Amino acid sequence: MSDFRPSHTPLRDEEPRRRPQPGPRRARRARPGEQPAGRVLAIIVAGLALAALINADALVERAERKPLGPDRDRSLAIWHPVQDVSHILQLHRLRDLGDWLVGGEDPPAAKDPTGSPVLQTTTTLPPEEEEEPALELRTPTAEAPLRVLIAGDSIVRDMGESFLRFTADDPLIAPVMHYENATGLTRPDFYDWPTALVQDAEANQPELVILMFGGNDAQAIVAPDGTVHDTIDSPGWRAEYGRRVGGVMDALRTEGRVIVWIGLPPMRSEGFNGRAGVINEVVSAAAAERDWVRFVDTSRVLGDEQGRYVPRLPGVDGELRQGDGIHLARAGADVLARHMQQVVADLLAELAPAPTTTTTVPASTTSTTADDG
Amino acid sequence: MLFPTVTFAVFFVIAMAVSWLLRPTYRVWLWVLTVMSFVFYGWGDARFVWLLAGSIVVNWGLGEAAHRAMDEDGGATARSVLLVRGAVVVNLALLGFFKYYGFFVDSIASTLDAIGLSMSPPVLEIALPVGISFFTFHALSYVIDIGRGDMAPVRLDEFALYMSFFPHLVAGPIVRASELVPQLREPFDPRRVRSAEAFRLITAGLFKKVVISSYLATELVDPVFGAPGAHSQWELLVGVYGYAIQIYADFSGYTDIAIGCALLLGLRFPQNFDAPYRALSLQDFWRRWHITLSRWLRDYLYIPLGGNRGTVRRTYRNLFLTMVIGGLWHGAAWTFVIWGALHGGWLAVERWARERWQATGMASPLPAPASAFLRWAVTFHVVCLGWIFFRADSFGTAMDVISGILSDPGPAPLVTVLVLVTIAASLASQLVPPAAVTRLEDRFAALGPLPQIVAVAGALTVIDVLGPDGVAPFIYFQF
Repeated sequence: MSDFRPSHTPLRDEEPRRRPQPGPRRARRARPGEQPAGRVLAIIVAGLALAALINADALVERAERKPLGPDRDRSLAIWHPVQDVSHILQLHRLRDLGDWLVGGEDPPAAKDPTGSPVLQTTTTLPPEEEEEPALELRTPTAEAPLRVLIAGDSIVRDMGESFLRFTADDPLIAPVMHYENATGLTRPDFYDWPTALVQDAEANQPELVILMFGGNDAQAIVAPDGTVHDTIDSPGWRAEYGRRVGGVMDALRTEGRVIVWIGLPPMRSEGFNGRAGVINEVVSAAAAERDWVRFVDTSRVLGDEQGRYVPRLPGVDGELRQGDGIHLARAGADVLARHMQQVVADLLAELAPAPTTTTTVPASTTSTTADDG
Repeated sequence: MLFPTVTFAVFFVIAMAVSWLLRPTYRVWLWVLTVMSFVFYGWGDARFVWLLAGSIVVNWGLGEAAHRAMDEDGGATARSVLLVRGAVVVNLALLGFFKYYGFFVDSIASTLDAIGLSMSPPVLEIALPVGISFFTFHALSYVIDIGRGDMAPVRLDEFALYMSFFPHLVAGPIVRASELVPQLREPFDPRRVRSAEAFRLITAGLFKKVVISSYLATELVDPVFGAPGAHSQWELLVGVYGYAIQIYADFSGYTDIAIGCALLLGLRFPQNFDAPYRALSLQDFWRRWHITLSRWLRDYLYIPLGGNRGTVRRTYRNLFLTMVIGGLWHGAAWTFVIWGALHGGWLAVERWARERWQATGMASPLPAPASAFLRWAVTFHVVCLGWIFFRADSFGTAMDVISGILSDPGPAPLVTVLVLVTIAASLASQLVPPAAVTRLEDRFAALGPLPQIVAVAGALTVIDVLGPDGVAPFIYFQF
């Protein structure tokens, strides 16, 4: 290949020199690659219509995932008829063929918004008062580090990344993270978290599960009997969300495992902050009834002394939150991750198994936090 | 409004129909398209529509005033120079406030903290208007060109459409008024729309943006840059290569869609990318990457600083400064400044090395293909080094990535065959000669309408099947 480019390479934008002179329309035929505008428009419209018919199932699915409300109803009203026509003409098979060729697993999704099938089978009543073994958390060693699963929606991502970074050199903690953008517990038909968490738990056998949800959950929720609870403040909404949260806590319960549920931090938008507060109340109430679950209140970790939203904290270099006033920026994620490291250390100290007469407890087993800085 | 959405498709079909129908009545056409562009801009967030409108009116007014202040030969006078400088200050102040206030305050606060003084600056959380960097640069090029006597002012409705035109409003290409307005005025022929090229650009652009870019981002680049310490050296290295492809696919994909949409409306935008990863030197790279930005920086920053007309040292300084400012244009963070400084520094080094080499008069000791490959490899890796800083959320993260690449062995589960094939195929696609693409376009246009309809629907289906479930974020949007 030539290794010397001329100093002036003609760029495409100099093509206009070759364009025909302006003036009265000439009766010329179009050159190759050119068509009349009307024909092009017709091709585009027909092409889009055909594409809509072929992909009608996917379009309906996307519309169904929207928060329940007039926008969703409008979208469904548009796409359902298209889907009907597509099925009559069997055009949806082409899309099915494409999906089959590409393969891959479908993410877990319930068939409707009323709740994950996992929750139907677990009890949502508080566990009965019976003689239970004391809650314990194994003391990790370098050969057998503590297995930690961090899961949630996009808001857990940044904290999880910082946590992974801080514990990368810590041989006693082995975290993995699974997050999914735009998900939560309110819409299992979009992403079925209870099922996904049960699958993750089986795969990773975590001893500590750190969860953070809620940012996408402040939308209409559908109870198993079909009732739609629109407003987050209503008792019906709280009861149904509480059922789902409790269901997740129960589904993940197993010996030697502790769940830490991180509360939503204060939000810049007042309305959203109020809704986040409701979610935090529901979650902390469910956690209070279950001794294997701890709730972490982040309002004073990422907020001021009154627990209100602040964009920066004294002594912290950088902004706490991203431009949307919701997600954590790197500095905020670091702050929360450090706090969580301390929470983990405290839990390991508090729940260390009682020493039996046949084992010796090694000294300083609980200093698991990496050095600061 | 985002490009790869059903809403935009409907909007564009309406815009195209309206545009071709109204084009014979020039003024009505100008206003209607401007209104539609404002609808496009304000669709997601209507707050900044007023900012754009204000910028249009103020800049047009300053352009008019500057032109009137010039003397009869069209030369600059003290007053016209003052007006142009005023326009520059106003535009940069606006951009500075929205984009750089937080950065400025942060940097001062950190510096004061470091020397023991603490300060509580007024904390303002300022939302960034979409596309502000682009329309600010458009406005500046207009006023400065008038001040230099390179163009006469245009009418307000023409200027309004130039500034707000929806294909280039959000993320370029950076079009000059002198390139676009003559096209607006020319009664272009509706029987000769370059549809084949437009279809090719739009479908290729959607594929690059929706499929390639999102795939590499979610499966490789985001995890790697999010927690570099948790990944091994092979993952980090491939992650950097992956980002090089991701940002190219994302940005050139968007630009392709913009150029294709403009073609369908009868207007030709300048080319913005020309197989940048074929470059054999960094100077060549900047003739192939974000071409309209590098031309803008050359014409309005590098040349006014003196370009290469002064001493050698001055040339290096001008190169360096121009690239640092170019870096800062991308974002309010030190990592962007470092990216710019890296490019500026290497351009200077290249220039120095080339002059030394030519002064010796020696031929290359290596055979030509080997020499070309070596130069390609060095250039590509310098560019990738720059991308590490561009992508990282802090200097520390960038250094983590670099040190990890040098010293962190381990398994690499993220580096799958598909990831490697995607990166390799994307690089290889830069070698396709433009002439072959044009031949393909011509053959496509020769097909009847029905095969074209099927092809359009097929392409959209393939893109939707291979793309992610949601709409992936678009990198250059926040500029």
